[in-house]
Amino acid sequence: MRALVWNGVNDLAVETVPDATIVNPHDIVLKVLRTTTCGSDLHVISGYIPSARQGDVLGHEFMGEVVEVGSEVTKTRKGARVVVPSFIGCSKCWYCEHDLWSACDNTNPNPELQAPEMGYPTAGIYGYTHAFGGYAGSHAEYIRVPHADANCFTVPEGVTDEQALYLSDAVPTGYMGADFCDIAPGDTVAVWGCGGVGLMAQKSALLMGAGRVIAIDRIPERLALARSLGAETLDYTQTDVLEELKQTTGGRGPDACIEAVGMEAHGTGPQYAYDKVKQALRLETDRGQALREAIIACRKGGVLSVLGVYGLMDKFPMGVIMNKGLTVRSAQQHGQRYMPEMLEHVVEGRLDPSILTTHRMPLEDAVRGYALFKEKQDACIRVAFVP
Amino acid sequence: MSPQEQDHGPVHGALGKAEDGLRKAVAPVAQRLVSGRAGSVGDDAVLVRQAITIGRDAEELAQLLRSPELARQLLTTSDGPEISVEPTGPDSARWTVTGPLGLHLVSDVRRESGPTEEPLRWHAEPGGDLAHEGVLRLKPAREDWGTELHAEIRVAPPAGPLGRLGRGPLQTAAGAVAMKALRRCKSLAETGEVPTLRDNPSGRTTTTES
Repeated sequence: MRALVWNGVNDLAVETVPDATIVNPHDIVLKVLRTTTCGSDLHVISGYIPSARQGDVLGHEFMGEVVEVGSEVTKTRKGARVVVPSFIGCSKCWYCEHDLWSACDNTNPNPELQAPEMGYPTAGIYGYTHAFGGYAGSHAEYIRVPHADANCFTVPEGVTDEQALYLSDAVPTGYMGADFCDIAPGDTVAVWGCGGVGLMAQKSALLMGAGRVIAIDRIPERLALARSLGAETLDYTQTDVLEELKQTTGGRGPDACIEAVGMEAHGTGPQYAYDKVKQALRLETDRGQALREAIIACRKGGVLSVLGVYGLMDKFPMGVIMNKGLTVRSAQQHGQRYMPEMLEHVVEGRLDPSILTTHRMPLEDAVRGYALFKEKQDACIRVAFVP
Repeated sequence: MSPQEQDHGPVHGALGKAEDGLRKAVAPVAQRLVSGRAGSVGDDAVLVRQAITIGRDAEELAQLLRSPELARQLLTTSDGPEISVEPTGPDSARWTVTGPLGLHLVSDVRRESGPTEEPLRWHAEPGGDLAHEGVLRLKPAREDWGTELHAEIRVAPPAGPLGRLGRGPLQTAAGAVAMKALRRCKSLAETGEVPTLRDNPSGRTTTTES
């Protein structure tokens, strides 16, 4: 089958690789109908997430049609059109049973690669380095989905492939980030980042009753899309974000701050230059401008919801979190937990994730797609690949 | 041409040949040093302790842990260090660990089943390359967590006095193998299967033609 593979730092190619097959009895094989770029892929492609191996198939956000079913799969049917959360759950361990799906204890075949740094390993994820499981990703014609009955969600009639596609990762990540904020009616929520996850966090916060959502980015088209969802916007290259947030909230700060940027944040000023140099020299993995700003901006006793992917950061303002009494909540996404309510929002027309697709192209053009996505050229927000 | 071949310039090629040469020169000497020199598990043994909590009741787990097939299921992986387990009798097996430089450490291992709270003990028979002994114990976990599985393993450094210099790395390696085995045991007990990358598609066996 054809697949997009990582052959080294910033070196991608579409190649012919062995077909995906059933390996364990709870597996299915999915014919990928749509698969998309994610900002967190860029961290892998750039070499900031260790343990990618030459030849790894990338991609973790996808949907498709079930074409093969393992011997112990009972609910997932051949021919079904399904969406699959990016983190793989087993539904049997304590973490899955408590809706902490991305912390699943039974789906990462390489726990020893994470445990030394993190203490305890996360669940496995598709196409996202060997420390995160090493599973082949979705930028391919077919993909093996372990524990299918726990991870395959039937796409209802009337929901398009592209609406379903983003329920795999961008929507649940944003939705979970808003859920972490325990939003009370009328709350003000600030969201750093207007990529796929940030935009979905903004929309989710509004669906959950936020009075105001303030979106922060620098790309005009992304800010315009945020406004179309109902958010107010700040362009950080044109305004002092901290000062503006203070003024617009009567000197209190937002009730909750959602960080949806991650380790390759852009920014301004000497702190940004410092991060850029240290990251380039591999002395730290993270450019933390957005996260630091969100911590400082948040009102006392507020909630900081961290959705961006991070490794090791310098100058993390822990004292601000402690002294202001912030509640920090974070996780890789627990998509299985939110899927039924997300699907309901889509079916009833309150949420249309397909607005994220700015470019659609065949999988054969995936290298060009990632170049567009990485450089944010041609107003690119997300590229949907059709294998 | 594979991507690996495409990426390898003259410097990489020379380094690869040097590494192969070193491996060929050193491996036989190292193999002689470790073969049959394990000694016995005494005071200088490395102690490895690992624990994991499994969402199953103790009796059910004890039954799984006593299974003669278990060691092969937990230790033979396509994803980690190369360990093979070949049964040699109802309660015995030959374990072969393939280490750095392609070294083979071979041990004949005998297992002994016990009561629920201590369902399994095992030890390597004298004369092998890797003298070790281990015990698995079960304790109830709090509330709805199930049962705690504790492993305690003692490993004698191989290669006599020379091997004692490598106690630190031996402890790290044995601890990692034990932890991975416990995690695989948990997955088997809770889901009926072990996570694996077997037959995982990748461009490491690829062609660039469509």
